[in-house]
Amino acid sequence: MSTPSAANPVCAIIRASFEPYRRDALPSPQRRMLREHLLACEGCRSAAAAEDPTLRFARPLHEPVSEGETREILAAVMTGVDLLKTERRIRMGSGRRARGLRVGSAAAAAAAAVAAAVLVSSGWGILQSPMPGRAIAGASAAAPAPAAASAASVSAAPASAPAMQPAAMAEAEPAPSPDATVYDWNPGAGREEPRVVWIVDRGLDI
Amino acid sequence: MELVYSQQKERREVAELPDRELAVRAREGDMVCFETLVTRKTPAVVSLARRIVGSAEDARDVAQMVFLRVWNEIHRYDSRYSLNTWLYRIATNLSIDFLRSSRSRERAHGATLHLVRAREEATAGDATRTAEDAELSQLFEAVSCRLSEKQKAAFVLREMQDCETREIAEILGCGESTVRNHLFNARRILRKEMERLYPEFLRGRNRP
Repeated sequence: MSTPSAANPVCAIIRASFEPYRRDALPSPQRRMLREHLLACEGCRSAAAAEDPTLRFARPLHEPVSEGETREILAAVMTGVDLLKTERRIRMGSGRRARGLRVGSAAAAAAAAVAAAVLVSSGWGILQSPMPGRAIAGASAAAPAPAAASAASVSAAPASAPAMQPAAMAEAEPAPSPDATVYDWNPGAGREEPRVVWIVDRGLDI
Repeated sequence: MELVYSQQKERREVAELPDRELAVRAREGDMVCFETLVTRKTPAVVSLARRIVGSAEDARDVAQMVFLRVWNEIHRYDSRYSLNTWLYRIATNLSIDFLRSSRSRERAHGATLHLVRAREEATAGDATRTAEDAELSQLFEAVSCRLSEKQKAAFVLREMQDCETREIAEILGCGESTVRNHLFNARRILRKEMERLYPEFLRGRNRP
């Protein structure tokens, strides 16, 4: 350990560097040199503390962590990692299920849209009588079927049918499809009431 | 027996890899590399967290959170940059979060808890620490209470972890001039606190 000596040229250089060190204006190599010197030279350490007491902290202050503590931390981290992995697996599983549902509903929506487009483009003239059993099964899943809501062709409700027809599609040329069936749950609905129509086109099975 | 030997050999080889390589392999799912990284970086992370949160026990909790976050976010690590900067960034942010939440907790439960814990730690931990380090550590804990989280983090990173200003700016997510500002203010506040709490220590300042 060096003795306190400002006469020592290295100590003199180091002590002259305290001020730029405090201003954070010392280049890295000199900064490192100063810190290393302070660790070794008690005289300069005292001089530094006398000039600015915060310079006492200019040294690595390592927290002693024993091997046992490191092992404990590692064990805790690995347990946490296992939990995170399990969480990820669960999330991925539910994500797949949700994706499956989304794909299923998207396919159903697409099928319904295509069916509706074909039906509309055919000028509503292709409707068949529905199979009541199927219609009720479909309705029980979607909404409670009212007693009067027996399946009926759209042509049975001419007042509301034009309201559902998009203007652009209304101009399309009719292309009759003998497989399309429309289940209309409230054929007598006026303009203010919701209209529920289930269209099934067997010709578009996908 | 042969399997155990080969595992030990693998661990020995992995232990010699540089930080960046370990992180890259851990990112690819190599758990041995991840474990080696945790073991290697635990002292540095605990030291940094200890200076910011002020308690050894809390620092160990923060270190666990840091490594869990590292595992969870390892896919975001860009190997062009230093692992330490990335790691210190996570450690600093989590320590600051912890400090904020523990401050609000302590406000609710009273400050006595902190004093009791500090005394317990002082008696338990000092045996393993060099006397001077222990003294400085306690001194810093006592005088750093009035620093803001960012000032404290900047000062600890600069003085005790010896990080470059540019690195600290990256870690704290601010500009280098802001870091210098934090450091300047931290020194000013620390000096004032030392004068207030330890005047006898400062009386020696003008000694020849």
